[in-house]
Amino acid sequence: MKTRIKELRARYDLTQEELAKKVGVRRETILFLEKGKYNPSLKLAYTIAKVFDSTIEDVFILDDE
Amino acid sequence: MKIRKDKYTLQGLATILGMLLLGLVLWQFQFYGAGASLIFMGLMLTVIFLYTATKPREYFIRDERTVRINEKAGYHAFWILVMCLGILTMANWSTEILYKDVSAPLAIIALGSWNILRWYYDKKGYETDP
Repeated sequence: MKTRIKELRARYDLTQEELAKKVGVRRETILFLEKGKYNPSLKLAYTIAKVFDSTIEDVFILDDE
Repeated sequence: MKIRKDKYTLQGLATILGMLLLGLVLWQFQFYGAGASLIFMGLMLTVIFLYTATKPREYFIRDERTVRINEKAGYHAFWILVMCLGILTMANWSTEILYKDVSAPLAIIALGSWNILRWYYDKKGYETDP
């Protein structure tokens, strides 16, 4: 799973800490999401997409492999 | 080292001080066992307090990732415990080990492996893909 969180965070001028607070998770969770080492629940994916005024498909990209 | 000064920190500090004071009072009235236990627990809590009070409050939020980590670590700690019980059962065929004698080490193994696994999965990241 790849994500565009880092790119969108930069566009919205948000730190990992600020995004974590907005979506109600730990900063480490955002870090692992950006690294692609954690697959979020549908609820968290939706909440993150909502922060960036995007859809889940815009933020999270599923690898075909 | 910066210590947080919110109500949770103060509550923790009050609890520790209360335990230590009560332990000392009990010790004075010659309830050595209960007094020593409370003082020991108070000192252990002081170590935990110093660790937690220096971390930001957000560090201890139970988000979905930490819940999944706890579940996964608990699952594996359970199987470690079952494996230990299996080894003990086999050892019991040749020796006379009583389960009640090894219950404390087993509890330490279970809790210790759960905590180590939690730490490991937290550092690793925990992928949910099969």
